[in-house]
Formats: sequence, structure tokens, C-alpha cells
Amino acid sequence: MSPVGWELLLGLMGGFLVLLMALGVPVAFAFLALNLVGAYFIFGGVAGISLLVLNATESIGTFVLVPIPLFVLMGEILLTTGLATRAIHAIERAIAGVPGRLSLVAIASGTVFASLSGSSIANTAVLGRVLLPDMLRLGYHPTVSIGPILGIGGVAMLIPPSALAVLLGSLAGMPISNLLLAGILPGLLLATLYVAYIVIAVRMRPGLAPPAPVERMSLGARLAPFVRDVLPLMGIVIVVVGSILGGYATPSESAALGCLATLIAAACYRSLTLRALVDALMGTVRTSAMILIIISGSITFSQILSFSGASREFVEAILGVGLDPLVLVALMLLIALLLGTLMDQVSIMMITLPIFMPLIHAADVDQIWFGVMMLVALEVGLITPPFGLLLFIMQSVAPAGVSMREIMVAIVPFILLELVGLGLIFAFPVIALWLPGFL
Amino acid sequence: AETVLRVGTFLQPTGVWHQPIQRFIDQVNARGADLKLELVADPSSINPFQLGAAVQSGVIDIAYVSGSFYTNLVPEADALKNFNLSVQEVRANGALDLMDKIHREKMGVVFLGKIVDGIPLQIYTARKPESLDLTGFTLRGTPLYRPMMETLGADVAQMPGGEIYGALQSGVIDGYGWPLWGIGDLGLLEVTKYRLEPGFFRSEIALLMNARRFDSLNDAQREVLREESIAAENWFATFLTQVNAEEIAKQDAAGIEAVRFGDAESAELIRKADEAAWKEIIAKSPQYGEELKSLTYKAE
Amino acid sequence: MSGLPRELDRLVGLAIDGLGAVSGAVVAFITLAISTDVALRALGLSTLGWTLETSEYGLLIVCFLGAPYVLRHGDHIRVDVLLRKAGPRRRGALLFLANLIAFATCLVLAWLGAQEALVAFRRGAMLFKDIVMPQWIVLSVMPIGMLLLAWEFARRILLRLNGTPVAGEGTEGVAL
Ligand code: NA
Ligand code: NA
Repeated sequence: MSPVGWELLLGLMGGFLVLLMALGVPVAFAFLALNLVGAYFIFGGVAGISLLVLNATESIGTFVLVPIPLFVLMGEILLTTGLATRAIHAIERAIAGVPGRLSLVAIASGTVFASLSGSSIANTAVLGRVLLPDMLRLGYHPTVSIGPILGIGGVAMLIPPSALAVLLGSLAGMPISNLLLAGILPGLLLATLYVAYIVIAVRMRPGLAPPAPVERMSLGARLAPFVRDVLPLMGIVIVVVGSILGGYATPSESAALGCLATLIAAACYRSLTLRALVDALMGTVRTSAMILIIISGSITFSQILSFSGASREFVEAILGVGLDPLVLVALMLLIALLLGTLMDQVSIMMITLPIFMPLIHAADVDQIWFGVMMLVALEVGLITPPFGLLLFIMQSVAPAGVSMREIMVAIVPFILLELVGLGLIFAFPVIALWLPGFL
Repeated sequence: AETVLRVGTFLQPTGVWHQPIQRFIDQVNARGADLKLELVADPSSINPFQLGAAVQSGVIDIAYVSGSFYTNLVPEADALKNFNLSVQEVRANGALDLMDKIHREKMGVVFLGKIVDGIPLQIYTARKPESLDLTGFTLRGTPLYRPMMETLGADVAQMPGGEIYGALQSGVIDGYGWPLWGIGDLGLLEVTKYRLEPGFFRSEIALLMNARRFDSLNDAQREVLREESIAAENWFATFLTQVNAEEIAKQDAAGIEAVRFGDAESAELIRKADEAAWKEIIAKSPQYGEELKSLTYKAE
Repeated sequence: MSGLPRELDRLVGLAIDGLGAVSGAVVAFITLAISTDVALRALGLSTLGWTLETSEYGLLIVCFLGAPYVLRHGDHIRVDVLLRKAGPRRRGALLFLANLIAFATCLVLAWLGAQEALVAFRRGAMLFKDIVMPQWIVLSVMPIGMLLLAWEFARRILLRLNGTPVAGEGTEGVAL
């Protein structure tokens, strides 16, 4: 389609994107600037840029993105009303004596939150907003504060409900209930890997987390704040999960109910003020506007690459290497990982699945196993630079002073852990296929 | 040199929905009229709701797109689903020429043909309808299904396609509207229990071509595109019968039960839904609405 | 800046803050509308019927009209890997160039977006969904946001040329 080869085109688009970002052009505008040029040459002239403008508007005005601001709002309310801080102090008190406990709390609560939201962005935004300020204040190193929060964010799309798994299932024509069920163990596996890493890392480098003070407290004194400040917040979880399971709300609708439940909880603690509510709303606007405009830029970027034919030719060139089923699957995952450095999850699926699925069927590979590994590979893409949506979310919700460089350094161990998890599922398909086997 | 025409589709380029356009591309390319059709755009590159704009401005040359996706450019396109005369009949009686005129006038595109036609829209449910009165049912619908659903007395819920699966499984909705084709592609075979018969309206996909580009071709090339469009329309009738049977077999195999109530009563419902839909179209297009209806719709 | 430009900037600032507040109200509205829908359905009543569409338009507002507010009161996410390594002079030059690129981008998008909206307005194009609405309204959101963003980037460039860059722009912050 395009006059230049796909290697050159991908290199140019990717290279200029990295260059613009490195210059310090805000991420959203780096995408938009590149898209202007790309649309002109690839869609064709001013008509092409007009199409870009229409596509950009269309890509944001979609209900699929609605849960993002809603779950962000939920986290903001927890924060501005002080509920979050109270709950964290209570947890600290309850599990005193364990080094790196807040990192472990991040993983545990991230896993719980994964079971009530289908959105990695929401998951990261809530945890980053609620846990991170306290962790940094208490002296947690970015590797054990930013890292686990980002790592566990991606687990949200493995553990049901998962908007991404449903989308993957429908784009790939897989039985969705099998795929949803198949994601549970791999999700827990990743969470376990993170826990193991934290425990070992904190033991080997005590400087990573504040020392655990030896506190002499009665069990009652330890647990009383927990009962008072944490257990009632479980009511919010019950509202969100219960509304989905009970057939009252879809996952995106449950996000709105979660916001209301959080407001009610705050009112019960007498910490709901107009000031707190306004602050929560404006905080939500800050994060949501930034993320939505980045998403708009990245979706149109992927569209231009797809129109040029470069992404398809790239996929076909790599797949041309070998057709042994296992090699094929490994190459497909590699493609997803590589595209994940530059593109968003949905765009990758739309570009690759029409090519992948016929090959998967022809090679007689278990499609559910493949689907779960695709989900993990897409999850890795969320945290790999230069385009890692969760990295940007983290930057947007983190306390002032946290730099993108620190975030990118903190995430490295967790990228490796996710790759280890992916390798384990590849080597032991039973991790993915055991649960759906009961269907 | 060979003339390359860039084709775009509003659907994923796989499966039964894609076959008509793929076949059209192959047929034209095989004619050796110095024409080469290339599929360059699908939803991964152009948003389905902007495919009309893309063919209008010439970013692509030919679009494979359903009428309800570009009503902002040609409100009359919404009428395509309401024709109950066959595509051969509306081609013979000049209705498609009228469509072509409207499309050229309002959008600057040639209406090459209605190459997908007559796939019934259906209502699928998870709990059994006891009559044609669906009061108390919450159905997921789009503006396309709304007239029929409201005629049935159901409450219409809005949600993205990706949420149908979970919502139906948990009971947030009791059912949804979808064409006869393709609920398996959405993973919905496993959560759907009933299909209300008969279907209504007729899913369609048209082939549009940028008018400037069309006029820039030579006579022979234009003739090839016209002939192949008509051939595609005629070919589709057999394909429709075949795929309809396959889709029903798939739904049967998944245990989806067809539910049918009195024929006269059903016909009356369909007539009402048709009337409601035509009323909307005439409101959208006072200029052409009535004329289109008289050419394409015969009340039974 | 002084005199007329300063007065103009104050007015633009007010507009940006106003649109920020509107975006906040939109978030509250979406939350309430969806919750109402769920409640109505649970009670077996008819749902509002416009929640999905208004939420979608709401996202457009939060995205494009909230963005200038975010920029005015902070910054959009920048990758600071290089910025943090550079000395003050070079960092200033990088930020100048970055803001210039962002400014030009926003201006072009504002211009072409406005053209699209104008074309839709002239044609009288309507969006026929559950809500029937003129398309130009939807298409106006992005160019308005882009124009305000362009203004804000231009302001940053001018302030930097005057030697008084926006406080907090590309802040390196305290090491953790
Ligand atoms: Na989840
Ligand atoms: Na990435």
C-alpha cells in the first residue's frame, strides 16, 4: 500500500514517536503530532487529516471507556475523604511486624480489586492514588511501591470480570466463559510471583522498605482499627461485585454504583464534605482527561499504521519464519509483545487476531491456552516503554515529584516476572486449561 | 498501468460477513480490465462510523458499509433495511437508481449495489417469551432494533456489544437484538436460549464508490464494476440461503430453541415495526422518503 | 506579559477553568445517570434510554475540554528521562522545542477540526442515534479544546522567552 517498505515505515513512526517523547513533548501531543504527519502521507493529504480528526473524536466517544473516569472517581473519593488513609493505617497496625507489608497489601488489594473491575487502568489509578502516597511517605523504594501497583494492575484483565478477555474472545471467536475461567489461575500465578519477589527482595535489600518496628500490642488493639476502618469498606466491594453477580448491573455500571457506595461510606464516617467531593471530581478530571487524550492519540496512531499495511506485513514477515505449532505460538506472542511497546491492547488484537486465529486453528493449537497467553502478552504491553498506558496512569496519579524515569526503572523486575509467568503458562498449559476443563 | 482501487470494510475481514466483499474483489480482479481492488481498511484502521466519510473524501475508493453507519451523510441510507422487495426488483424498478442519485447528490459517491441483502434481524432471549407481548423483558438494542422492540412492549437497554455476554449471563438483560448471522462470533451461542421467530427488517450492506474516482475510470472499467456489482447481488441470494441454514444449524446445535407464535399476529407485528421504521425515515427525509417507500415496500 | 495580553490571558484562563468545572460536573452526571438506570431497571421500570449516548458525549467533553484545564494547572504527562539528565540551559531549550511542537499540533488540529464542524453545520448533518442531534455540536468539542491547548502552549513559550517559565513545567521534583 505505502510506497516505502514496512520496515522503514514502522521504524520511522516508532522512531519519531520515541524522539518526540524524549524531547519532552507531552505523550498525548507526541502521538497527535506524529499522527498529523502520518495521516497526511498515509491516509492521503488534507482529506486524510480530516479523517484523522473524525477518527480521534469517534475513538473517545465510546461507552467502553466510561468505567475509567468512574473507577478513578471512586479512588479519588476514598482519598479526599480520608477513608483511604485511615484504612491503610489500620492495615499497617494489623499486620505490623512484616517488612514490606504495604507492598503485599498492594498486591492483595489489587487482586481483590481485579475481581471487581475489568479495567487495568482503573485498578492502577485507584491503587496508585490510595496506596502510593503513604508508601512513599513511609520510605518504600519505588521498586516495591510503584512496581507492584503497576504489575498487579494488569492482573485485572486476567481475573474476571475482564472487558479485554470478552473482547478477545469475541474477536477471536473463542468460547468466552472458557477464556474467562482460564484467566483466573494465571492471574493468581502472577500475583504469587510478585509476592515471592517482594518477600525475597525486601529480605535481601532491607533498604527497600522501612524496617518493621517490633510493636508490643494486644491482639485487640491491633485489630480494633482494622474492624473499624477496613471491614466496613468491604461494603463497597460487596456493592460492586454483588451488583454484577446479582444481575443488577454490567461491569461498567457497577463502577458508578461503587462511587455512590463510597460516598455513602464516607458520609457514615462523617468525613464527606462538599470540599472533598469537589476535589474528588476535579482530581478525576485531571487523570481522565490526560489518559483519554493519550488513548485517542494512540488509537489513531495504530489506525494509521494499520492502514499503511505496515503492521500486517510486519506480522506476516515474522510468522514466515516457521510453522511448527509451538514456534508459531511463540512468534505470535513475540509479535504481541513487540507491538505492545507502541500500541494499545485493542488495536493489537484487531490487527493480529484476523491473521492469528486461522493459523491457530490450522495448527491445531488449543485456542483457550493461546488466548490466555495473548492476554498476558497484552498485559505486558501495558507496562513496557515507550508507550505503556499504565506507566502514564501512574505518572498522573502519583504524588508530585515522582518522575517517569523512576517509574520506568521500578517496573523492570515486574516486566521480567510477567515474562516468567508467560513462560510458565507456555511450558505448563495446564495452568490455563485446568479450570475450564471442568466446564 | 493498472488502476488500483482501495477498498474498505466496516467489519472484521474474516468470516461469513466478509465473504461477499472478498468475492467481489476477487471477481473484479479476475476480469483483467486493468483494475486491481485492494482491501486496505477495516475497523483496525478506520472507525466503522467514519468509513462513509473516508469514501466521501477519497481516502478509500470503495466502501463496504451498512446504511445505518453513515446516516449523518445520507439519512435515506437507513431505509435500505426496510425494503421488502428483492434487490433484483428494486434494481429493475429504478429504486436503486434513485438511491444512486441521492448518494451522488448528498455524499458524492456512487451506489454500486446492495450486495448483502435480506439477512433477518432477530430477537434472542435467555428466558422464554410466553407471547408476543414482551412487557417486562429488558432487551439490549440499538436504534436499528428499537422500533421492533418497542412494538413488542420490551424495555430497550443500551450497552456496548462486548457487554452483552456478561449482561445476559447475569440477568441484567433478558435478551438482545442481532442478525440471524454471527451470534457465535460474539460467543453468544452459549448464553442464548431462545430465538423469537420470525425475523424482521433485513440486514444489508451496500457498496459505495467515490464518485470522482468512478468518473475518472474509463468506460470499460466502469462497466466491469457495474456488472460485477449486479453479479454480486445475484450471487448473494444463494449464499444467503446457504448461510441462513448453517447459522440455524449452529444455533440448533447449541440448544437455542426457535419460538413462534400465531402467524397472523406475527405478521401484524412486523407490519407495525415496518410502519414505525418508515415513519422515522420519512421524518428524516421528507424529500425522498415517500418515494423510496412506494418503490421498495409492498405492504402484505 | 502585561496590558491587553495579560487581560486576554486572564479571560482565557477563566474559560479554561469554567470548562474544567463543566468536565467535573459531567463526571458527576455520568455517575448519577448510570446509577439511576440501574435503579430503574432493578425496580422493573423503564430506563432513561439516553444514558449510554450522553455518557459517550460526556467522555468527549472530559477528554478535550478537560485537557486545557489539566495543562493550565499542571502538566500533561511527559517522559522526563532525557529532561532529567540535561542541565538547566539544555532543559530549557528542550522544553521550548517540545512546547512549540505541541503548540503547532494543537493549532493544526483546531483548524482542521473546526473545518469539519463547519462542513457538518453547512450540510445540516444529523446524528440519528437514540438522541437525534446535529453533528456539528459533537465535532466542535475537539477544536475548542485544541484551540485552548494551543493558547496554553503559546503562553508557556512566551513566558519561557521572557525568562519566567511556568512554575512546575517539567518539574524534576525531589528524588524519592
Ligand atoms: Na478483572
Ligand atoms: Na507498552
